[in-house]
Amino acid sequence: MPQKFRQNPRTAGRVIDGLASVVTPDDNKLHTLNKTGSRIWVLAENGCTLEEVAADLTRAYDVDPARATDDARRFCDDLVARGILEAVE
Amino acid sequence: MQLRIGGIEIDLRVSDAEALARLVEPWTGYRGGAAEPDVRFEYHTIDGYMGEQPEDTPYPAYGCRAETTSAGVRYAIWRRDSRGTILVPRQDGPLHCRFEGNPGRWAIEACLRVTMSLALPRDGGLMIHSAGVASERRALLFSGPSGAGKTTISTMLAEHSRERRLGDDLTVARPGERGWIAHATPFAGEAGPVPEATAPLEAMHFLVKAARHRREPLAKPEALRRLMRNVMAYVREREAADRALGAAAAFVAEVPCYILEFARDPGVARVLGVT
Repeated sequence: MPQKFRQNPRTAGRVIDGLASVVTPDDNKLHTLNKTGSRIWVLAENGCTLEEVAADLTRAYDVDPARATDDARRFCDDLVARGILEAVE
Repeated sequence: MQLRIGGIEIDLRVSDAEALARLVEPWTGYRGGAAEPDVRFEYHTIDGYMGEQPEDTPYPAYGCRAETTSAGVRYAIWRRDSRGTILVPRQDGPLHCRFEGNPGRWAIEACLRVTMSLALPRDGGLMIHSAGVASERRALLFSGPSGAGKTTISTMLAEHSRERRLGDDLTVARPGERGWIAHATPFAGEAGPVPEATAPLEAMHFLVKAARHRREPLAKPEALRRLMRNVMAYVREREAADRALGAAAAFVAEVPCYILEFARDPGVARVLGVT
């Protein structure tokens, strides 16, 4: 089963004008995500796979699928590292 | 003693009557009296109390830990001159706070500030590191960290216009039926406490010292980022984080926010439309 990403349940977030602001209480930080990060944050509300993120980025930014997959992996890994998303099986 | 600060009704009990008198003596107009307080606050004085916080930790550094229980979230707070717990109940009902520490007024006031920062977001309000000026019809807030010029601008505007000071360190903003309301608090910086006052909040300004005066509107996401940096909030668990972020997001959605570059002269009043 492909790995899924979901919003870390310990975080709080709001999307304003298309940009997500997320508080991670463990380190008491506010993260203001860029447009791509914000799209992923919204997609991850109900859980999403890397393939679903890549497909969304391909549609939104008209980039080729290989690049979108690379970007999706990079963004998701970064958001997981910051405690904003978590990876689940 | 019953107090009302920023719309929060506080049942305040201090074991040492003289310490309580010293605390509230400079505070004018903050007496409350509602039957059901929002906060039950007890402070037990211990002469010469010194906690575990290292001497070289800069003021006002706090230690803070949150534990979720069946009754709600229990915060443990400690600093060099005081320590205690705040229970934020899961359901409606008052916060229960029990502190002990030094009888000095700053020690007690610091515990009250922390308590207020947890109580306000439950009603959609925020305690903001900000100065303010107000007339009867509107209030302007000026936010920034220490040294940003909060005391300077609020004192200067009050001296050179008909506006009165709404505070120079911490003010409260709460949603009302017709928009946000700014509240004075007795928690003051260099300029000292102001009497209780409220006014409809017209705008928030994030201060930048500069050679000339200039006011620029801020996009909402950037306003939220700057506001959260200056909101007094203890977010060690999701519920408190969600309440504070939700209140701040509602604030920037309704209250115009600006970057205010200002120099140390009263000409800034013109940029702000203050007469």
